[in-house]
Amino acid sequence: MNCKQLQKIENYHEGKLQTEELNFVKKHLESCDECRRYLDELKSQALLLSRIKNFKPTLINPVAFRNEVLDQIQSKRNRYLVVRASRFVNSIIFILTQPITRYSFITAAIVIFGVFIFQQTIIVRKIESLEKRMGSNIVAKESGRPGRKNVDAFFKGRMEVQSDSDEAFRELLGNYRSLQIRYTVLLKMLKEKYPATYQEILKELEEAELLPENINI
Amino acid sequence: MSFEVPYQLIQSVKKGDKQAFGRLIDCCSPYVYAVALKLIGDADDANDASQECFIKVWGKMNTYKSHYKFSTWLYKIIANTCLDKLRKRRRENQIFEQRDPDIHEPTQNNVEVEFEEKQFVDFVRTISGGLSPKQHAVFVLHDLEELSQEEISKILGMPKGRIKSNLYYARKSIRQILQTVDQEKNTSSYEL
Repeated sequence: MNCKQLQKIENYHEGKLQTEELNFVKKHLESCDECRRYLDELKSQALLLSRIKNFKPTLINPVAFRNEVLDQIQSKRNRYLVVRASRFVNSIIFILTQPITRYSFITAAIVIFGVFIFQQTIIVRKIESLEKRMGSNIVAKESGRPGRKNVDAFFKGRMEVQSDSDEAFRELLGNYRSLQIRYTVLLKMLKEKYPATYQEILKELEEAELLPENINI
Repeated sequence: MSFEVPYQLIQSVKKGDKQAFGRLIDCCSPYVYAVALKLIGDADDANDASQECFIKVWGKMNTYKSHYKFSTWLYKIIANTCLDKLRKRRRENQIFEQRDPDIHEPTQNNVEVEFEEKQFVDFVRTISGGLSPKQHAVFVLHDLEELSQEEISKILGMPKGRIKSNLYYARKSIRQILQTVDQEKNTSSYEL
């Protein structure tokens, strides 16, 4: 490749030359073997490139290709789920096996148990207090014999109300509004917290016809 | 070569509809495979790269923004996948295996197609040896796929100036490679 006109041959091949230069190159090509060979090479390369450009590669089996991609996505998804689940399980196991976690669980259980017991104690005490207050009032008003033993006996159904008549006892309850309120509070609380005791007491009160009609629980 | 995908189809795929994704694969796989083969120069590797590309598309579909042209976005994924494979091949100095004539034996009906494909694959393999992966990608996308420089800029993430220079050097190298190949052919024919 010694000829100095090679660049012009490239331009000639690409159609970039004006008339004057075009004529010059045409004449030069008639006399220069090297440039003719070069032009032939350029033409064959251009032909190859155009054939390459026009060639459209196609998948041998597009349906199999699609199914394979979808299968891979599914299996990847399954693998991902398995990995995620195992990671979750491992992290749980790791947390549970840590000493601080064990102690935390034991402490939490103790605290929860303690709170429960404390709450129950408070409720029971409140009920007992209400019982006593209500019972004292009832018994004091009715029998004139206030006292813890009498109150307990009244609520356990072992004491018979010593009234002149049941009618008089109902009137008595009706006259004491504050007593009615306490009675309501007590029964409501029993109904919510101790349904069995509530049913027992209700039955006893109904049997003894001691439940005033105007109390809504 | 740019192509259009229905907006509704893309939206369905974004919502996780696998059937719609199957339709999207049917619609785009010819273009994706063609680019992959032009970049890699091996049918099996191109097939693998195309599958990898669609798996990435499924995984990244939520990141696709509607204002972006879908074909450009897809070209970006396939180009990057193929460039990774080309770079890996360079690192490993992988040598192309010879085709097994028993497996790819052409039948009477597809002799011409087989010949063209062989010629095509030979061409891609020849030029890929003399070009950098980026130059190769720019040449394929610009001269063979006829994409605009703006699109190529988005696909390969490089400024237009670098695309122009890569294209210039790619064309120059290809010309030199083809000249060398022609000379070798002539020499061997003289020897014979």
